[in-house]
Formats: sequence, structure tokens, C-alpha cells
Amino acid sequence: MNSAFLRRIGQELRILGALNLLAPLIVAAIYLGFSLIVGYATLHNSGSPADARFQAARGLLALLENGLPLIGGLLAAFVVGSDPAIELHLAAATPYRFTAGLRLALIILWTTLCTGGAALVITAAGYWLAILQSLSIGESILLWLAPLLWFIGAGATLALLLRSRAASGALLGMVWIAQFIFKPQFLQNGVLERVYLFLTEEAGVPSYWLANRLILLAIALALLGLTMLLLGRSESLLGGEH
Amino acid sequence: MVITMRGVTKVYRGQARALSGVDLTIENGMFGLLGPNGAGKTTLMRILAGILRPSAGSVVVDGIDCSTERGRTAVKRMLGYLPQELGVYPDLNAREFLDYIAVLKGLNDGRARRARVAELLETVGLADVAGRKLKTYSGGMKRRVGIAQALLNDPRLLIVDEPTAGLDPEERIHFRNLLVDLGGERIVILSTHIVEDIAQTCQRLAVLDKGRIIFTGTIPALVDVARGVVWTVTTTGPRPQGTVIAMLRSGEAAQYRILSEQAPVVAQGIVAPAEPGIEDGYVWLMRDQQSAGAMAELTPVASA
Ligand SMILES: Nc1ncnc2c1ncn2[C@@H]1O[C@H](COP(=O)(O)OP(=O)(O)OP(=O)(O)O)[C@@H](O)[C@H]1O
Ligand SMILES: [Mg+2]
Repeated sequence: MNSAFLRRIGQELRILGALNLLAPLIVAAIYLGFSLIVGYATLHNSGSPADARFQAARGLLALLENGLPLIGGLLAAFVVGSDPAIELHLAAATPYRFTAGLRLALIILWTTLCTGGAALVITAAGYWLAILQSLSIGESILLWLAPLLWFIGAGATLALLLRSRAASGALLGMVWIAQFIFKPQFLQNGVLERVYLFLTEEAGVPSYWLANRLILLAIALALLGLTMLLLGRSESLLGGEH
Repeated sequence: MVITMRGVTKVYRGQARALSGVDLTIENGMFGLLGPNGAGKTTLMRILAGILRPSAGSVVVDGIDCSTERGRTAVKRMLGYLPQELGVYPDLNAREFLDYIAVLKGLNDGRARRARVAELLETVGLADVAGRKLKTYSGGMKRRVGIAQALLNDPRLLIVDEPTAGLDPEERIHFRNLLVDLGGERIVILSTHIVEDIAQTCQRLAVLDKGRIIFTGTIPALVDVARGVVWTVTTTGPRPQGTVIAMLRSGEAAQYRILSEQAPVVAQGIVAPAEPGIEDGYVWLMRDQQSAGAMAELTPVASA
């Protein structure tokens, strides 16, 4: 990695803006706060420290499996959805696909670091759920990496198809909520259970858990590939909002 | 350097034709594109800049065939482009923004790039405010940032889409002169609604209407289009027949500049033939166009 490339990355981060980069940390703080409140309330009600610990740990698992992935998806929709200087990108020798791909890679890297870091902290603090102790290190990573990449791929694809940050963000939010509303339908269907995004926090580690994570990961990679294809359509990129 | 467009047609997805069968040859120097709103000027420029692909027809720039991705990239290396609506990154300052665009354009030598950015900030008169975030800039200041970014790579092909829109008169003249200085060994293509801008800068121009080229030639040739149809009429009576280009009132009397095939008839007053200007030529050309359209509607068989 030469200094020109590092410089370029610095520029992209500045364009992305500090607030967007802080978003994962803000979400982590919110989930942490809620987990502590839930834990404290449980202790207050049942008087059982083990119970309280379990409830707090569940809240922190939700951060890994649904909180940070949603933020990843929203950020992805934001960076590839539109660019105010799109015409300059399209008229410059550097292909826009490269720039947007670089930005998406930065989002993936940053949210992966945030989520992985959060998982490490949670484990070190002793809030990693007991039922997850059987998972290997690779599986523990897959637990959050699969939904994270799924949301990032879906956010980017939706943003390019709908040409609107707001619409794609709203749709992502609906997908997210639907996971909770239709949880029974998902978990009682042999096909849908394989693509249920929040499987671990809602159902633990059933026999099809690994298959579910791998399928989600495969869908995510397909969506990211589709994103790269869609980034080549300059006419529709021009028509987007700014 | 020569640009040749042959039969260039553009149909936007699900829309009417923005360009139909445009043939155009552009050589070194300044070339103006004139035409009403929606005529297809921006579309034409985007195709030349390799941003859009034509639905049909060919574009060759300096011997490079633009129908391939590779050809378009080669053209982009020598291109400076100022879009009609330039968006910027609000949280960058002018220096950072220009530096970023320079990187996109492939100016990889850091020292040379910084020198070029500083030089251009000076040229467009933004050196004093180069450290301020772009979101604090006025419309005209952003326009100047746009002009500077187009010049970063010392382009041999410079395409500017309504560059002077939103600039104050002084700045407009300054920029016009800048463009003329740049002409010479390169092609500068500019589009505008301001006929005066073209008259002051371009050797040749094309007039575009509803996606078709209706005129190409020199400024004097466009002026000649209106030869013999321009009249000045000074009268106290009602407004005379014909297309009124200008009107000046002084007390009871009014002086009109009229385009009309026959000398206008007025009850009392003076009618005198006048020397045509470029604006007269443009308006007369557009009028011809409208009446030609009306004729075609009346006689569809003949037009087919
Ligand atoms: N992205 C687009 N999608 C669909 N139609 C478009 C698009 N851009 C332009 N058009 C249509 O193509 C035609 C030509 O538009 P264009 O922007 O090239 O005109 P113009 O001469 O630049 O006009 P103006 O002087 O207003 O800038 C118009 O009818 C316009 O509605
Ligand atoms: Mg235009």
C-alpha cells in the first residue's frame, strides 16, 4: 500500500463524513445502554444475577446480529446510492465503479472492525452466551458476519435499483422489522428458516444454524457482485438524486 | 484535433428522442452550441464526454473511436468537463475538492498536483477562500470551483455546459477571456443560452433544436440568416407586425427592433432597415424552424 493510496482512503473517509463513521459506535452505545437497563431490571425483579446476566448478554448478541448489520446496510445504501459529483466521476479517467467499490469496501472494513471489536469486548467481559460456547471461532465470526454482509449487499443493491437513499433505507428497515413480526412463520418453514436473519438471538443454535449462516453469506456475496454490475450503468447513475 | 459525429441519436429510456441523427465536425478552436431549453445540448456534451453512450451513430475524437470502453477512457484522459449542474462535497474545502478531482483524473504526482491546484485557485480568484468549506460558498463561487476542476489536467478537449450561468458580469467576461486564451491547440466546446457569450468567443457554432442540428457555421453566417429582415421602427402608434426583438419607450413614442420579411407598415412613424446581429440571426432561425414544423403538421404526406 503506497502513500497515494492511503491518501485516497483519507479523502474518501472525509467525503463520507465523521457522523456516518460514528454511526456504528452510536448504535453500539445505544444497545449497550438498553442491555444494561434490561439486566438491571431483571435483577431488580427476579433477584437472580444469572438471569440478569443472561438478559444483558442477549441484548448484546442482538447488537451483533441485528443492530450493527442494519447500520452497515444503511451506510452501504448511503455511499453507493448517490454522489453529488457523479458527473465528474463519470467524466474522469478513474472508473466510478472503482471509486464506489472502494467506498463500499471501506464500509465493509469499518463495520466489520466495529462488530468484530464489539464481539471481542463482549466475550472478554464475560457476556458471550453460554449456548454459543460450542461454536468454533470461525462460526462465532460467521454469526455476525453473515447478517452484516447480507444487509450491506442488500442496502447497496436497493440503493442502485431504487436510485434513492431514503427509499432504500426505508425498505431495509421494513425487512429488519419483518424478521420480528414474521418470526414464527420463518422458523416453522423448512425453507424460510434457512434465510432467517436473526436466527441466533431468536432460536439459539438449531441443527440448521451453519447452513443458515452459509446461505446468508452466499446471498450477500451475490448481492455485492450485483452491486458491482449495477455500478456500470452510467445512464441510470445520472438519473439519481443528489 | 478533430471530432466527428455521424448520425448520433440518443433515446433516453422510455423517453422521446433527445438527439436524432446529429452530424457534426468540430476542429481546434472554440465551438459554441446554442439552442432552447431541452434542445439536447447537455445530452450532446455528455455523449462527447463519454458519460452517455449514443443509441445509434458514431463519435470519433482525435482518431479514437468512442464506441468502446477503452476508447472512451482514452478520451477522458484528455478531457475537461464542466457539468451544467455541478454538485460538490459540502464538507471539503476548495483545495481539498480540487485535489480529490485531480486524483480521479490521474494526476498522481503529489507535488505537481498541489502546484496545479494552487495555480488554478489563483486563476479563478478563489485563492483567498480556498480553505473554506464548500457549503459556505455562493453559487457563483461554486461555479468557479467547477471551472477550475475542468482545467486540472490541462485538457486538450474542454467541454463546458453553460459555464457562465450564475456568474456576475465581471466574472463572466473574465471567464470568457480565459476560455479564449485556452483555445488554439485544443477544442473548447461551450453551450449557452446567452448569445452574446458565443458572439464574443466562438469561431464556429451549431444551433440545436429538438435534437437536430439546424445550423452550423461561423458567426457572420448566422448573422446573415437575418439579413434583410431586421427593421427599426419608431412610432407613436400601436405595436407593428413582426417579431419584436427589442423595444425602447421614450415618452409617447416607442422604438422597436422588428424581424419581418416585409417592411412593417405603420400609420405614423419611421421604418428603416437595420444591420442584423447574431441574436437576430438566432431568433429568425428558430422562427423558421417553428413555421417549418407547423407546415409539416399541415402537410404530413409531403413531409414524409
Ligand atoms: N436523464 C434523462 N432521462 C430522460 N430524459 C432526459 C434525461 N436528460 C434529458 N432528457 C430529455 O432529453 C431532452 C434534451 O435534454 P438536454 O438536457 O440535453 O437539453 P438541453 O439543451 O441541455 O436543455 P437546457 O438548455 O435546459 O439545459 C429533453 O427533452 C429532456 O427532457
Ligand atoms: Mg442543458
